[in-house]
Formats: sequence, C-alpha cells, structure tokens
Amino acid sequence: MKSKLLMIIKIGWLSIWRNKRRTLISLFSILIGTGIPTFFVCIAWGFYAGLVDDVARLMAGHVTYEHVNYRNSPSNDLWVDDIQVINKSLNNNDEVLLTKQIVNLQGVAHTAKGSVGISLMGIEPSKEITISYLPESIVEGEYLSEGDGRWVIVGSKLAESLNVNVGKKFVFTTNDIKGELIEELFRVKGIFKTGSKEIDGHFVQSDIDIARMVAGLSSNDVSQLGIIVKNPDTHERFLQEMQKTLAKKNGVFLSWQQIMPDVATTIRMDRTAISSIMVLLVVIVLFTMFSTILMSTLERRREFASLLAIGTQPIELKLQIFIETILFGLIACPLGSLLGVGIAKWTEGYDMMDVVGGKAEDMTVGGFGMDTIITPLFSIPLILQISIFFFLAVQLLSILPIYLISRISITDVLRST
Amino acid sequence: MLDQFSTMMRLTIIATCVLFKVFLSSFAFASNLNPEKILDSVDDLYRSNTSYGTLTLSVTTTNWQRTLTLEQWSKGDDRHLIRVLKPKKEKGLTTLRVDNNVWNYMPKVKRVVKIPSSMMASSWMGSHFTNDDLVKQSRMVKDYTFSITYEGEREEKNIVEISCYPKKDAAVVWGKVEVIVYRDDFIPLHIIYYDEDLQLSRTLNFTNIQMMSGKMMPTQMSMIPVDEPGESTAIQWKKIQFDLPINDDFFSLRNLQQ
Amino acid sequence: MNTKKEIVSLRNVIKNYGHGKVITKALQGIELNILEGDFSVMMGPSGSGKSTLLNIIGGLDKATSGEVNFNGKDFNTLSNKALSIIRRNHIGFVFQNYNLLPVLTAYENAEYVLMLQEIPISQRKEKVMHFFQEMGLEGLEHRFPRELSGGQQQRVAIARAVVSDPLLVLADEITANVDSETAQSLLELMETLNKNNKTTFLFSTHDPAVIKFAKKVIVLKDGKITNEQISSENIEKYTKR
Ligand SMILES: Nc1ncnc2c1ncn2[C@@H]1O[C@H](COP(=O)(O)OP(=O)(O)OP(=O)(O)O)[C@@H](O)[C@H]1O
Ligand SMILES: [Mg+2]
Repeated sequence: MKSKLLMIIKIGWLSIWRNKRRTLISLFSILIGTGIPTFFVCIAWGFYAGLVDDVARLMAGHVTYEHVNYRNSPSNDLWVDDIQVINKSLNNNDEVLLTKQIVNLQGVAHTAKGSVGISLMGIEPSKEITISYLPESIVEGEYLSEGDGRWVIVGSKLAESLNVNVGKKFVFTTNDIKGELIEELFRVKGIFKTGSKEIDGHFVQSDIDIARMVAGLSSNDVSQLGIIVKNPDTHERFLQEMQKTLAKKNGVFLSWQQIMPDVATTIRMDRTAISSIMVLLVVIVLFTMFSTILMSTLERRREFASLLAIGTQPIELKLQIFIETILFGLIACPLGSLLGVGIAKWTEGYDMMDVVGGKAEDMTVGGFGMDTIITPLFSIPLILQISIFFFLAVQLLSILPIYLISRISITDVLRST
Repeated sequence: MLDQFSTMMRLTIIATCVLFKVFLSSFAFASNLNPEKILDSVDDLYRSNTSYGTLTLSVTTTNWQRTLTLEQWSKGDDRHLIRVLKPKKEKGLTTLRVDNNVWNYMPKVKRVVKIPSSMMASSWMGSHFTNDDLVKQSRMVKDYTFSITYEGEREEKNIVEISCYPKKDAAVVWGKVEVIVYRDDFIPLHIIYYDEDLQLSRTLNFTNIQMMSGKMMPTQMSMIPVDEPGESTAIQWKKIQFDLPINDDFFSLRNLQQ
Repeated sequence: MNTKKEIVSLRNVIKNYGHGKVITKALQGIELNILEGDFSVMMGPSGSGKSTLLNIIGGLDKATSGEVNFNGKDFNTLSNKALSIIRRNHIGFVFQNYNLLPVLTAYENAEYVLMLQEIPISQRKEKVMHFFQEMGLEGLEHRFPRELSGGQQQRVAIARAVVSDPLLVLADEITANVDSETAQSLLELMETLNKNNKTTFLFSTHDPAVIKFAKKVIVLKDGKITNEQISSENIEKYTKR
C-alpha cells in the first residue's frame, strides 16, 4: 500500500516535469498569484497596524471608556462616575500601557482673519509625550507641557486658515457643561504637521486643566478615558473583560473601531480591495494552470488508457492527477508567499511616496494621515491564509482532468493512433 | 432651498443685531475726556434702556445685493427681538436673543429653532460680520486697556480718538480697536478694527446724523471689510424710540411664535 | 492430465458497433476456446474483428451478446471494477505501440503491475530481474523508454505483461512496429516464455512470420471464425494491410 502510494506520488511528480517549460510557466503564475497579494497584505497591514496604533495613541486609545451616550452626542456634560477609581485600577492592570485622561471640546476658533470649526482635546502633556506622535510632529514652536494654560498647539492648516503663528492668539467659542456659550482666548505654543487634512486643519491640543476649566468640569472629570494597551491585537478581549468587571452603569468601554468608524471602514474597504485583487489573480492563475493541466491530461490519454488496460484502477489514476496538482501547489504557493514576503522585506524603509508619487497629504484613512514609510507587517496567519487560498484554488483544477479520466474509453483511445 | 434661504435670513438677522448693538454701544454721552468714562457710558447707556425701531439692512457682496426691512425691540444688554417686515417672502421671520441663546421662528413651517453655538460663532457666509459680536457680553472697559491717542482736528472735524488694546487673556480677536468720536457730543464717527498684527481689518462708519426721538444720532452705519473690496453691509434707521415700557415677557419663546 | 484447463471460452459472441441504421457487425457469433499453455495466433484481413475480439477477451470491451467466460467467470455479469482487477491479476497486455510510461525506467515499468498488486519489494525485484535476464534486458534496467530501441521497448512491454504470472497474455499486432528480425526475436522470446513458464498467449497479427510460431491458428473473416486453412495460396489475403 505504502509503496504503491509512493509510486503514484513519484509518477505524479515526474509527470509534472515532462513538459518543463509549460510547468515552469504554471508554477510562475501561481508564484506571482500568491506573491502579489502576500506582498500587498504585508505592506498594507503594516500601514494599518501603524496607522491604527498611531491614531489610537493620538486620539482616545485602543480602548476608550466614556459615557454611554457620549457616542450619540459628544457634549461636555456627559462624564462618567468614579472615573479616577477606574483610572487607578486600569493603571494597575498588566495589559495596560497607559491611560489618557481626555477632555474634548467642540467649537469654533476665530481670529480677525476667519473662523474654523475645531475639536479641542485637553490631555496630560507629560503622558502624551511618551505615547503620541504629535509631539514629534511639531514644526514650529514647542509641544505642550504641564500647566501651559492658554498655550495650545494647532495644526499647520489651521494656523494657515486662522492666519496665526507661534505666540499669536485666537478666540475659541464653545458650550460649557451647562450649555452656556463660552469664549476663551488661546495662544499658539506650537504648530504641528501630520500630513492629515483633518488633524492639521481642525485639531487643537491643550493641557487638560484649561480644557476642564473652559468646559466647567471639576478637576477629576474627563470626557473620555483613553486606554493604550500593550498588545493592540487583543484589545477586543480586553475590552470585554473591562466592560464586565470595571464599567459603571453610565459608562461603556469601546474599541477604536467604534470610536473611529471611518478608519475602521476604510481599512475594511481596503481589505475588500485586496481580496478582489486576489480573486482577480486567482482567475488569471487558474486560466494559465487550467490549460497546462488540461493539455497534460489530454496528451497522456493513450498512456492512461494503457495503464487502465493493464489493471490500474481509475481511482489510482485520479489520485495521481490529484497528487500532481497538490505538488504543483506545494511547490509554488510557499514559494509565492516567500516571494511576497521577500519583496515586502526588500521595500522596508522606503517612502511609499517615492515609489507611487503624489503627496503624503493625500494618503489619509478616515481623515488620518498615514506614515508613508513602508514598514511591512508579517502576519503569519494572514500569509498562510493567502497561500492556502491559492493552494486550494489550484486543487479545484484537478476536477476537470479527473472527470476526463473517468470518461476515458480504453478501447477507443488504444485503437486511435 | 428653503433651508439655505432661512440660514441666510437667520444670518442676516444676526448681523442686524450685531450692527444694532455696535451702533448703540457707539453712543457716548460723556461729560469730559476721560476715555474710560466715554466707553463705559456707552455700555451703561445701552444697558438700562429699552428701544424700539425700524430699519433697513443692505448687504452688498460682489455677487449679490439685498435689502431687508426689519423691526426690532431691545431691553438691556441681553434681550433682542427682530422681525422681518419686507420683502414679503420673508415676512414674519423672527429672531429672539436672550442672554447667550438665540432662537429663530420660521412662519412658513411654524417652527422655532435654537441656533447652536457653532453657528453663533461662525462668520456670516463670507460676509462682513462675525456673529460672535451679537452675544458678546463683554464691556469694552473690561476687555480692553485704552487711552486717548488723538484729540483735535482731523478731516475738518473736531474729534477724539481712543485706542483700545485687548487685555492679555480677553477673548477678543482684535489686536486694536480705535473708537473715533466727535469731541463735542461723543457721537461716533468711526470704529476701526485691527488684527493682532495691527493690520486694518474692518471699518465701521457712522453717517447721516439726525434728530431721532429727541436725540442726535447717526442714522446710518456701514461696515466695510478690508479683505473684500467693494463689499459692505449698511444699516439705515427709519425710526427709533427709547425708553418705552417693554416687559421682560415680551422677549419670550411664546411671543416669538405670534 | 490430458485435459488442459480452459482459460477462455466464447459462445456465440456477437459485437455490434453503433446504433440505429449504421450498425457495424464486428463479431458475428464467435465460438472459441483457449486452453492453458496455448500459443494461438489470430489472423484475418483488416477490419475482420481481431482487435475487437482481443478487447472482449481482455475485458476491455463488452460483447453485445453471447457468453464470455474467463477462468470460470462470466464477464457479462462483472462490474468494470471487477474486470479491472481481473486484468491486473490475470491478464497481460502487449500493445503495438508499447505504451510504456515515459517517466519510469525500464525496470520500473516492468515493476509497475507488481506494485499495483502490492507485492513486497524483494519479490518484485526477483521477478523483474528474472524476466529481464530471460529477455536479454540486463543492463537496460535504468534506461528510460526513449533511450531504448523499438524492439527493446517491446521486450520491456512483454516483461511488464508476463512478470505478474498472468493466465493469459493478449498481444495485438505487437510486431507491426518493428523490423522482421526484431519481430523474429520477440516471437522466439515469447515462445520460450510459453515453454518455460506455461504462459498462455493469444496474438493478432498480419505478419506471416508469426504463423510459423503458432501452435494454433485462428482465422477471422468478417467477424466470423472460418475453417479456411492458411496456405501459401491464400496467405496474401490475411496478411495484406
Ligand atoms: N468503436 C467502434 N465503433 C464503430 N465501429 C468499430 C469500432 N471499433 C471497431 N469497429 C469496426 O469493427 C470492425 C472490426 O474492427 P477491428 O478493429 O476489430 O478490426 P481488426 O481486425 O483489428 O482490423 P486491423 O487489422 O485493421 O486492426 C471494423 O469494421 C471496425 O471499423
Ligand atoms: Mg486491430
């Protein structure tokens, strides 16, 4: 039994190489088919992982704790009970890297030159420096430090539309927690540039104390508690646990996907795009492979007929064909994955903008700018998924020759010369 | 379409309030040349009085020109009611301000809408006012430091020029405001706004001084922005009465819908 | 002792090809017995039904009617799978174009059927080498078919057919593609196999040279076995292609 199987495998293997050129073309097509999506996925996932982490750190963390109604109407009078107690126990949690206390204020910034709707985020500068990329994005002036009061940092686009420089002032209009209209003066301490239209054009950061003061919040209250976890991959599970153990009646833990649905949707859409590329490539691969396998079956009809005549069971021949496609897949798919990974590795560190051209500002996901330096992410399950997907697709091709063999008429084939 | 229109209307009315307030606050009946007294008396005069009047509001932009006839009531610094009389299409459109809150009543749909803070603070569709001025409670004296920077003849008029500089933390967008009044009666001539870099930003001109309700006052006022040449917004008072008895109740949501 | 075992017996075998109006009557009532140790040659003009008959005896094709009995089994009642197993275990085939597997060496080609039969490696080697020696194929074990002459390939094909000790070897025009000298040596080889191993052979051929090896000559004409004797006068008729 074993030696028979080995023989069948051997015949299958040798049969593959009977027409080397044809086989190489087919192998090449699988190689490319597997390699391209693998490459894309490594690059794109690298971007997304970087993006998500950056954005989570910049905004409200991988997981956010906020008032249950805050999502529907982010108004300043929605804060959560006992936030400092929760904050403390989160900071004692091993999975948590840091928590961000955040006070958000929506309003309008204006100067003599004009007015722009902005979102002001009050944070703790000393923490922010360790987690967010914003401090490094300062192009003029300085980043915030504790007790900065009315000194805030603004985006380069906002600075342009308000016509302000470092040291200049603007008036911020918003509502406090009682719904009263509030006007406050702020001064520009620093100007940042992230490459994102949204962030650079409508985002302002201040020390949390002044934001609390403007909002009329007490020194313990926050709009959101942003949680930066050590391992972003497991944030969903972490969220569930926290919701069960920590959440107060009027508070809820949310994931970054819920906080920033735009980013999540764009990433999902991009994943769909990559899936469509994969489907397209599969079609191309299958076309190339199809003719190879069909030809190699048809040209061996006489051989098959004589094998059947001398007592080979049809199932044994089918197995042989099946093994041929399996071997095809086994050679090409892993090599394809390696190829994709290799190219991705090779492009590591290059600026994508140098390759595709265009402006970094145009590369935004859900309004957030992307770091255009290529830093591929090699997710083994994903790479395997692609490889296995192509492997299985190739296996589909053995259906046709197997069908043809089952229809072979030994006498007819043997008679024809 | 209706929406866009009503937004425009709303903004027009807000702008009117702005102008009206600036107008009123520009009256200065002071007995000497103490600048604080001049400015303060403007605020105080305005604060304790009621007024009723009709006026036209003309907005000129490079693309269009329109004129509205309005009817307005005010009490103190924080109560305003404005109603459109003409044109017919917009007749009945009413705006009520109490403190920091502004509501609009749209007769066509019989609905009252509260204007959100973001709208309150944004500028008027590329126009020449910021709505912000309307609800601003601040007194010049509180937000600015000031001094008389000129006294005497200018353009054949005997004037006083007061330069106001915003205090360090005052929520004021300007870098400097110059108030120029007639030396004799403190009737305003110009209010000139400069940005933080002391570049001219906009000018408010007062003209056509007439006797109204027993007071001499400029009956016409126009705002000229520097950024948009050829554009302006002008108010022309047709009639004004002061110190009529008006109940606080008059400035209520209930009255708004009548 | 004197009654030899009957391997094949055909009774009134009829084979029609096609259906409807155009029917080819390939075989029209064949009566035939093949006994153990026979070395029979089937002759007949082209189209007389030789290949058809061999295919039916070999279980590759089914008779339209009549009885086909192989080693006591009625072929008409057997499934394709059962027929395939009978072929694997009891019938050897040799074809005109050798039909060796090009990817396997001479040795592996011969070993193929033994592998299918799941015979242990030591026995396989013994058997293959035995026949290779007997057939003068020593030293060619590791050559691929394309590296062998036609005659050598046909000898490997014969080795493949006989290596599993079949009850019957069917050979359809196996000398047609080789020159007469080679044909001669192939036939001598099979004659020896017939003598030494008691392997039963059934040939079809056009080749008059084959006849002198035959222990029994079967003459087919228009799908019937005739009693006509082959002689120098009529041999032309059976050998022209
Ligand atoms: N599949 C088929 N369909 C229709 N007719 C067929 C088929 N196979 C054989 N025949 C016909 O049956 C008859 C017998 O054919 P067969 O191949 O047995 O002849 P043969 O004696 O082997 O001839 P040759 O010496 O040329 O090989 C011929 O008339 C042939 O045309
Ligand atoms: Mg034939």
